[in-house]
Amino acid sequence: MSQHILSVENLTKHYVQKRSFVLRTQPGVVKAVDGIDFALPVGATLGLVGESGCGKSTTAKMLLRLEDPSAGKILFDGREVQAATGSDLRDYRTNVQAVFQDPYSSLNPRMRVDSIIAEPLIANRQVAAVEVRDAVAQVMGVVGLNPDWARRFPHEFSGGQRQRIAIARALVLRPRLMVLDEPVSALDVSIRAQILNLLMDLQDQFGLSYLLISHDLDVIAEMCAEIAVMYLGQIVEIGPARDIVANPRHPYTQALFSARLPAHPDGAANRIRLSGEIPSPLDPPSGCRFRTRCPHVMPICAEVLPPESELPNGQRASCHLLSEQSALSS
Amino acid sequence: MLSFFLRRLKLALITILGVTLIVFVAARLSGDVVYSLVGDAANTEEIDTMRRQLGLDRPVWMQYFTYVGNVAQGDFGRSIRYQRPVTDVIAERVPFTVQLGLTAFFVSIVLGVSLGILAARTRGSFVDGAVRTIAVVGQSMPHFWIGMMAILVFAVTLRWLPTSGAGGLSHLVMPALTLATFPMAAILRITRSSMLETLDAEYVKFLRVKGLAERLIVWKHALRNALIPVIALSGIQLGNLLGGAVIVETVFSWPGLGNLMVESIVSRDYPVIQSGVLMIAVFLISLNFLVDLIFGLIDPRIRYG
Amino acid sequence: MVEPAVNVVVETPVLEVRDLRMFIHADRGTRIVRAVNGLSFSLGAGRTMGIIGESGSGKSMASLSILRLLPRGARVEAGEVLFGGENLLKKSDSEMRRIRGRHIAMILQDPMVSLDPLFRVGEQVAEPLRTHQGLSGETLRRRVIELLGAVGIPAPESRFDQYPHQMSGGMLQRIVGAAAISCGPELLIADEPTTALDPTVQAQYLDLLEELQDRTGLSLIVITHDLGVAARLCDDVIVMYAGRAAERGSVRDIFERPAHPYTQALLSTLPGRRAPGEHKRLKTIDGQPPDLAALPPGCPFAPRCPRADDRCRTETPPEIALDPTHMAACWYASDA
Repeated sequence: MSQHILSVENLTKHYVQKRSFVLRTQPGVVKAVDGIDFALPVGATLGLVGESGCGKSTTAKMLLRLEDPSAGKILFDGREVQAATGSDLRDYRTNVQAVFQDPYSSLNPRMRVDSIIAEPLIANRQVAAVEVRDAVAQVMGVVGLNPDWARRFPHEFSGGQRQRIAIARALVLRPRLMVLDEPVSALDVSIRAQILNLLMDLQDQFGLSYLLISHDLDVIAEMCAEIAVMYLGQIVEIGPARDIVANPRHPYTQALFSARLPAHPDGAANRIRLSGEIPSPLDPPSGCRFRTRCPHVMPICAEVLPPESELPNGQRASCHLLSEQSALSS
Repeated sequence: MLSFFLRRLKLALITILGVTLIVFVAARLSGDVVYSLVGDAANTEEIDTMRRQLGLDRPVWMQYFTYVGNVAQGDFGRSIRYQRPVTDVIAERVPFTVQLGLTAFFVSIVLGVSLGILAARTRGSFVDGAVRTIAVVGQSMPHFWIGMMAILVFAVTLRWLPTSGAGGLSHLVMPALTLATFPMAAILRITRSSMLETLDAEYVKFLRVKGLAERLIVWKHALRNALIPVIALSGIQLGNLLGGAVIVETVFSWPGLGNLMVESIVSRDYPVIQSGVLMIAVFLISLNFLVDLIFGLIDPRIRYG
Repeated sequence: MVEPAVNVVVETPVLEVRDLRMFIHADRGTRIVRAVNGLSFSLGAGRTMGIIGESGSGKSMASLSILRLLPRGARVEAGEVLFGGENLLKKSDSEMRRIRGRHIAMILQDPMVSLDPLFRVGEQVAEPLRTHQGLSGETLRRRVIELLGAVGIPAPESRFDQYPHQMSGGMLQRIVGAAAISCGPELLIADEPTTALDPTVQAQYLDLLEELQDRTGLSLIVITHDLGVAARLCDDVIVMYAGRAAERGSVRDIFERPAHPYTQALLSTLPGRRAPGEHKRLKTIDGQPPDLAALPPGCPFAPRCPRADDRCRTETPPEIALDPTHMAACWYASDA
């Protein structure tokens, strides 16, 4: 159990939507996250991929305790997070930090960099002013910022440097897990590599575990040891990153990775074109959620939610095609 | 649509009950009407009789329920000061305020919107600077001061216009323009900023990319989008006009509702105060509802269901 | 590697840009931002050109200069933009309006916000046809529905009267595409067609651009920060840095024989191109792009270039031709 720093079981978030008089919304339940399971090994990076509205950001919010799950469990170090109160909750908040996409809006423009970085330190513990100053200077050095810039304001920094400030703020409490929500999506190509390198260095240096959320498949492929692919609130495939990238088994994963842009003019792969649109999470399809767009759809897909099939390499996918194959081979 | 309407109606009733209750109690806290009616020489017995006649001897909550019951049956009571039904007293003042308010509102919309567009389209130029100055001045000068200055200049010195009272069009000019300054400036500012924001929007850029003439872009697309916040603000300003009218009507002795309200408060004419405020509340609530309906007409993203 | 003789342009190019310079006069003229600082290229009929660069490289400003839709304070200071042999920079405003949307069309970065939310989508596709071709009434409506069908919108009659907020992102892309090609332009400029889009939506969008091109034979300029877009879609590529072309050539030249250190660095910083989870450091380009209002003397990339020497820091390198279609603005381009 303890080799997993974080695991979630049947994690679920349903939003009850009331009927709105101004915008024409229908009452119902939005199944933003609908019973997902995954486990993150200590010191590893798990990538959560999927497209807008698949539930990856809601999952992040639940892990950061910004939203309460409707059902399911989050275990940190084998202990249930939901039950934590008082000092346990404070410990959890110290141990789990986040870095978000937009380095422009996630930093308070009226605060100086040292105050921004010191804020979690002061909020979470009683620390002497001298210690705070030292800690800030030290963490700025670690993320590659000149500590002499501590009294500057965020607008005096470039996008890449701001993201370093955000990482320093997350790092100052010495967390064990970081939730990285699209950490480089707003950055230019040449800056992106600098930040990804920094994140990898920090992981080695501090033994950090990362939950990396991104729609950028290149970033996911670069950073992750494991990948979980989400579609309409469920994980459709999960497993070792190299296997998922090289040999995805779920038709959605296959389509998703075939949409990845080539690295070379000759690399234009055979793209799997999906028909139709992502269905509304208010009214997801019966059976397999992906069946309305799946190129391999079968009658059973509308009736039965496909069970998870596990391959010898640990790759797991929820698709009737795979359960059929495993039934045939066994 | 019907359910939306019913919901709004329910809210409106609650608001009106709240407003009347507050006014009812506040008016009675401000002093006792009986003393001012009976005069200094009156003895205790005369005072008690007067109080009983007016129904003011009963507990306030009982008075309030009687009042609400009467209003529900269309009986607004009699004015203590004029000794006539409140409805008559108010009814003869309303047309004056409507005339003054609508004129001012019309002037402020026409001037505010057109100057706002002008400023937005000439952003950063001398014209823009001049228009923005007008806006700042218009929003910072109090009504009573503008009114008195106007009287001093146009009536006393130049003798172009009558100093006060109601009569022909010439009587209307100064009070209406005085009343219009503040809303005009507010509408101008929001039109300008909303228009600037719209002209910078991606869809306006796409209209340019399509090769559309600038006049189509401004008058057909940008204006309609820019007007959404302007309409919201205009609704508020029309409500505020009533507040302004109280002062402007007093300065110009304009015989409208505002003037009546001031008189009634001074003489503690409770029935008139209560019904006047009730009317204003109903007016403001209907106004908000109207603004919401206009939103629905302009913006297809908003539909009431 | 023997290549077939590519891109030997015999006929007049659709678009030819010569030494284009566009400066933005900021802070009341006290700061001059050299947004486009000497850009030249030519685009043949039916070809797809990728203009690649990071933010501030001038790639979007270049496309806006071609259409003469400049931001406030911006002025084209020098150069020629020859479209069908005529210099667009010499045209009057009303002549330019007749070119925009009719001969040169553009699709903006985000189709979700490119349509006026208060007007029906059919009307917004119809506008260029009414303006440029004088269509109206039933003819116009039929033509719009035809276009909507042509860009792959199912049941176009029923979509005509819908509003933008009633449509999905993929549909809006198509509506915007239909409006862009409505008058049969010779040139279509697509600005950052993949920014912030999900992978499958992004792929659909690139498919759509290809379809539009196949359907009408138009020439395409794709402005992007993503080398993958160029690899996927383009025949020719310009890599821009600090308002200039650092390198330009066929897509193969750029990917297989990059001659400019900036291009080489860009190609090597791409994440996700090794076996996943290998956890090695990515190559990076140190430092930041230069301030366009205070460009260093010499080559603008010199402060970040591992190979820069004194000459690079004092003399601006000209475009050095490596072969007729491949050039790089680097003193050491031919050493590569």
